[in-house]
Amino acid sequence: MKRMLTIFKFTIIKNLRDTGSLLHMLLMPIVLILILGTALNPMFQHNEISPTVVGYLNKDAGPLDGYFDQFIKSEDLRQVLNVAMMESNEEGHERLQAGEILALIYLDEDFSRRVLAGEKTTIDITARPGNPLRLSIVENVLESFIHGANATEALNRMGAGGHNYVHTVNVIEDLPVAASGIMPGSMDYYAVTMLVLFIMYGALYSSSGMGESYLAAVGKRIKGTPIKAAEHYLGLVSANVITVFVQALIIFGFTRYFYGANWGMNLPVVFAIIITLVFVSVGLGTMIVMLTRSETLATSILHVIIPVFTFIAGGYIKISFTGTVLPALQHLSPNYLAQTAIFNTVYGGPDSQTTAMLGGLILIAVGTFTVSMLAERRAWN
Amino acid sequence: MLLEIKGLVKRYGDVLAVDHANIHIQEGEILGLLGPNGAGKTTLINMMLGLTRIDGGNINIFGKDSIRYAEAVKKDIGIVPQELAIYEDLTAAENVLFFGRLYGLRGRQLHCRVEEALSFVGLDERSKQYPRTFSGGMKRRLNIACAVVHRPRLMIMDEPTVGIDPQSRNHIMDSVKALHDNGTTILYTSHYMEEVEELCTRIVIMDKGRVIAMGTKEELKDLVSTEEKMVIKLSAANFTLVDKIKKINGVKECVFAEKELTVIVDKNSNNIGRIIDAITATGSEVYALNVEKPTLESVFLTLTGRTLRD
Repeated sequence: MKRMLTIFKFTIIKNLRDTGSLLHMLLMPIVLILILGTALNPMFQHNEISPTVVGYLNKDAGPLDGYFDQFIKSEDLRQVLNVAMMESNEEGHERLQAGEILALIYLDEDFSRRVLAGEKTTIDITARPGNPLRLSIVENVLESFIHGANATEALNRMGAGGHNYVHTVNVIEDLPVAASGIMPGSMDYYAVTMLVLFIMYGALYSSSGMGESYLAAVGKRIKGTPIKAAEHYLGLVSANVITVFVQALIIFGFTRYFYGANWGMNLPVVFAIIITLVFVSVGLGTMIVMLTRSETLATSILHVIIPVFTFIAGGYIKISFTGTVLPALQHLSPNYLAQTAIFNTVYGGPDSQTTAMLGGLILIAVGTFTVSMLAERRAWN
Repeated sequence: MLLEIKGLVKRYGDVLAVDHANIHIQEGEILGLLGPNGAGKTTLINMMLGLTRIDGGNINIFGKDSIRYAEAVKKDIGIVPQELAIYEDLTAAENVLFFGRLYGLRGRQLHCRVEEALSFVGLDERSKQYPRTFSGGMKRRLNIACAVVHRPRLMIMDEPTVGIDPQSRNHIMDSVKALHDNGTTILYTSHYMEEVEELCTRIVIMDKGRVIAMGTKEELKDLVSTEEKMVIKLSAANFTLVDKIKKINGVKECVFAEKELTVIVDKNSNNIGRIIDAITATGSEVYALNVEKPTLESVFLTLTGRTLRD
């Protein structure tokens, strides 16, 4: 244990004295986030959508007309729909033609009767062409009512009576409390992707550290001392993990407090993802240097694969792949797994996806360390 | 017996890197390990340190199996690798301190030993400097300091003087002698015959993975030579003197040319006194006498069919 701590301590000292790498690892992401976050800001701008003005004419006089009225005029929907009451179909069509309303929602006289009789019925929408986004908002709102109503009706038919369907916009209210904001701005986006990129570049610490202190002349000399192989290996790995993790925390702190990047409120999960990615990065560097037995070759390989991982993960610029191969390929990139997990955590994505991504990272980390140990075993033979 | 290697084998595929090697070292010896590149010297050292798997045979160090008791055995071994094995971004003192800790030294004892080791190699004035500011020779000396910090019983020095200036080389040679005087047993490999000849009490010659000869310098020279050559510078000579010398027991050949008498005699014939008597009896004066014996280089050439640096 004491020998492992000796390896750990002196590796940390060496890493800290390597000011060139240290500055590169700390300053580059900070500068890059500033440049990319500023230059590509317009790509991340989201215009506020004002409520869509719709006309509403309800000719139903049956028992269900009140439910739809209550729904369409609810407080929640006012943020997305501005409902104008129409006196007649003619008025609705005139105002539609005049461009005063985007769509006309119409319930006929038999709406309640047909629903209660179990017959097929419709809510009619007449829309002005040319604004598909706003029209899709109207359609989605009405669909949410229909789904809710269908579910309530089904419950009633099953005997669980007494349900009156009122409104269905609770999807918004179900967002996790940890979610902060709806979509990342450019600074938020690059704070995450550049942090992930530079954690991955931490692999260079382990490839050069392992190359020098495990495989090269100094490494052989250390192996000639009474240290156990596991102490030697773990001392180096833990020192490199701590070095990269501390650097990641510095970048994290800088982006959070100086750039105001949004890291959400669920910081323990974000840190868990970061430390897991640090293990992936150190494991990757270790694995490649153990397989190639050459620090130079390992460094060259890492300088190729890390930018590729970053690119396919959309680290430099947001990309979305179509088809099946490229999206599948994305899942092989540790950057993609880490970025997705962090974005999910910060912006309230599904927990299951975050867990899956974290699981993927853990698998990669375990895989890289296992392969490196097997490679070392093979070389010893 | 401090070190005993029996039937040691290392294979790389079909190649026998070490072929049933048998070597032993007594406590207090300096054993020279001679051999060209690829002879198996470094592989043998790597197996002693557990850096390479042993395919056959065994190594006992300090009476213990070197694999089974690796940790205990390694505590008393110092290594000076062929390549520089020091950290450029740790100071000289930190380098020695680092290895001292790995050998289990702690506290005040560690700090005293670090000073002692640096002083031993003449780097005590530069303890706080980084090796990147050192000359090649100084780095080599630091390489040695890292190996002596724990006062090992057995020191393995793999070509410690490669590529350095004569001054540093002399310093290292003196260090090796000082270590030996302190009772350290040394296994010394080198390309330089003169170093081995000067330092080592016994020599092992390896070639193509095999130990082809082992013994003292004299024993090895005896292996390859049955004759000695004497070159005597005279004031004058004549044919009568040459005939007289040829008749001395053990003299095989005698030639006079350019005031030099060249006499080939049987080794161990001990007839040098009678040859000098024969010369002085003729009234001639002897200005100089040189007895040429076989060198290790010629021994190596004879045994392996090539020179050491081939």
